[in-house]
Amino acid sequence: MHEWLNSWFPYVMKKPEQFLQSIQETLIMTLWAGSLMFVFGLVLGIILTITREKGILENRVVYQVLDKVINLFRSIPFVILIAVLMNLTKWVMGTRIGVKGVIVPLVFGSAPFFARQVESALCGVDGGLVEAAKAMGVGPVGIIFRVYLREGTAALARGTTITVISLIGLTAMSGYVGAGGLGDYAITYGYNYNRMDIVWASVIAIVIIVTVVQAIGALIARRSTH
Amino acid sequence: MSGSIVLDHIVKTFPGSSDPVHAVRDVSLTIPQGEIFGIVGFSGAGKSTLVRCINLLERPTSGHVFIDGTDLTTLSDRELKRERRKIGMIFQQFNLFATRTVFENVAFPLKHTGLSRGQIREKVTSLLAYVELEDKASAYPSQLSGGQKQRVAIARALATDPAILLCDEATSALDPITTSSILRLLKKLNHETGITVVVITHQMQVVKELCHRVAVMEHGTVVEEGDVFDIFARPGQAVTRSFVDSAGGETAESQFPACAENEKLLRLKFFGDSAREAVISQISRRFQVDIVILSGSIETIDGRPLGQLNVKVAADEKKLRPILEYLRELKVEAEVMGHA
Repeated sequence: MHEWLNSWFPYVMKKPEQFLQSIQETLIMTLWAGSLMFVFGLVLGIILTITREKGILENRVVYQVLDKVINLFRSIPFVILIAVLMNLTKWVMGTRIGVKGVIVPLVFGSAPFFARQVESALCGVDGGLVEAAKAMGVGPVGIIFRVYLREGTAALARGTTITVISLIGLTAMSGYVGAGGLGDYAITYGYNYNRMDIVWASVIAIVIIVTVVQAIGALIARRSTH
Repeated sequence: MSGSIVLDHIVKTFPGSSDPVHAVRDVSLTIPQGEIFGIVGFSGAGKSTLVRCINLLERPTSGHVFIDGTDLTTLSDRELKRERRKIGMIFQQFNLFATRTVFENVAFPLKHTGLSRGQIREKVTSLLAYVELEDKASAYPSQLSGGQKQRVAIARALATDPAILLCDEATSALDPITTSSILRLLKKLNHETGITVVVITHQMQVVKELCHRVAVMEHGTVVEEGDVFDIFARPGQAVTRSFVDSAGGETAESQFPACAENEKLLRLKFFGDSAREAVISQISRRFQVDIVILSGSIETIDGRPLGQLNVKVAADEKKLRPILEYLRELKVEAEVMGHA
């Protein structure tokens, strides 16, 4: 096994701890940014769903403002977003470099996208169910938790999978602020030195991470569909 | 037991993209407790909107809704939520929660009502027994037939012991046999508990089998209202007539084919005792005319017999007049449907 790895991935095996370190960085960024993205995106998506036209707490102003802000953030390329949010990042995290320095831009880059995924998942919940719950005397909070989130679980799981996978894509750019990760590893140590085994090892690691995320998402979606 | 409904000058207007849509225009209805009240009309007549005004799923643009004397339109959100638990509702598409079992669906409205888990279990079990689905408690809605789904929906609507049950096209997605079984269940429910039932439908068959009184809606207004028997016996409006005809499964055209110059088509209606007399043979003998029976039926509507015969009489205008007079004496309603 060791022999085999040495012959196929010579430069990776020269400093395996570097490879493992970048995997760890990618996972940490994904986990932290992903958790925050999930919370913020979910809240924004719920607000979009209930304030939109014919929603349970219809509010034109709130919906329009949120809608525009989300579109704004979604239209800024991530690399530029890192620069735009520099001062905010510094203020929130105390630093603008390293893994800590990239969490804020990652959340801003993915939460609006996730909010759209949540909105579309919850809009897929049959309006008749909302109406039935209303008729049973259930209030807005009950409708959000007991109808929208519960009945939309499968669609939410699928939306989360898509967003987390795109988030993993964003973490590849975190090398710009010295946060490391597999993307940085592949470019800095692989591409720049023409050490293709490092590039391929990064690809394999990313594919495995994405596959696992996809499998978990599919499992949750399947479990919540009857 | 309570459950009286008074709709007082209900108006509901939706802001349309170009012109506002007047879904309900000034409807006033009084439905006493314990009655099964039907509201019929073609799609777009405003009946679905009207029924949603009863539990304020749609808030009327103007007008008041009184449930047992309480004006729902003046209540706070909290009070309205409590009031809605007294009004059950079932739907054409059943609206069951797909991620919950039958048991959980029925238990859904019982959360936060102060009942213990044991009490909820007991209540749900007895409701499922009532709709004859005890054995399906742990099934998911996707595993049920349409009729079973509607039974679960009925059990769920009854969970909070409502005084009123609103049925929005509850049988429109079901086949005729299943429809009949759901109607029997609703009838039994009304009979045993005295619950007030409001039925929205475009199927006159449903009105005939189930309702005590009926209102006919067209273009957002109630054009006719009365006992189901009277509406079937003497429909006053064109729209009512087309509904009554549709209940027989036939249109006026198919019942009355074209006929020759000196022949007349008559529709005869028999009420009560006159349904049991040999009217046709009497007329035939007395006036020396041939009578062909095209179609006929005797139905029991709301417990009273209503007979109808469609006949072709070989008589011209002059000969027909005394026949019509004689029929009037016998208290048989006759209507000349036309001739060649």
